Amino acid sequence: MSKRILIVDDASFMRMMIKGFLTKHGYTIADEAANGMEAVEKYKQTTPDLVTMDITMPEMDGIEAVKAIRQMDPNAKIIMCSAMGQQNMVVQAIQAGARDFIVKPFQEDRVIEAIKKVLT
Amino acid sequence: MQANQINAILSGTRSVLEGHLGMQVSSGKPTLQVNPVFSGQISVIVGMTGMLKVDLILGMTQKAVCAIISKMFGGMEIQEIDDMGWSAFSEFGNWVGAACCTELMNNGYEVNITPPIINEGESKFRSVHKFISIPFQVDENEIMVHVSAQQS
Repeated sequence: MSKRILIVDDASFMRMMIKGFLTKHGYTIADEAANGMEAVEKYKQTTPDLVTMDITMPEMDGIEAVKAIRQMDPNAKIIMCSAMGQQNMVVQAIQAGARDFIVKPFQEDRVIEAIKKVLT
Repeated sequence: MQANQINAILSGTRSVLEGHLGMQVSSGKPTLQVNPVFSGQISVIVGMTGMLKVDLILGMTQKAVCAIISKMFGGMEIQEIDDMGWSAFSEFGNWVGAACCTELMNNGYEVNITPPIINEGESKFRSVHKFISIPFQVDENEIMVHVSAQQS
């Protein structure tokens, strides 16, 4: 059975792009969320195998969402996908519990490589 | 406003257009803008906060926006801008803001972006702060880059 992924980004364009990459490589889309609060809700509802998480989002940012999800599920696998790639942001994300950090704009193979690495 | 701040912002903007979207960019002469700043047909406004407070406005024609969106969609021809197109253009603003933040951080200014705002329709921006305006020739279109930066 293919792995199920929750895509979190406030830009519908980015959700569409990531969805395209993932389905092309045989992953199933568990659901999508447009902000951190929705991400936490959808995680509870769908229990995906992995989450791709943006940082700068309304309602609740991605770092806070990672913390909230990891509190519910300490084994949650989350990869940050954000345009904000400064060192302090990466450190914050990893300290919150993210497994990897991909800086936007990203190439398809970088995303797939990161997902494969986290899911094995 | 200091030259290294402006240069960092221009470098960040350029890196997205050239490096990520593969567009040819050449910049023209900067001018100090006296109120108002003209928006162009469509503009994306990116804010940065932290050690500096930055307002970056990229003003352009609808044709220029379609060219950018086309690149973001992998070269698909874009004649009109729908909701997905606007989302792509907003994301472009996000990438530019983030790239500028990285360049400013490399110059010792710790800053963060605020979500971009798109202004559709020609208008005039008025501010208590002065803007520096630089014309960018981007492939066959022109983008006006208006920057204002203050120490926080």
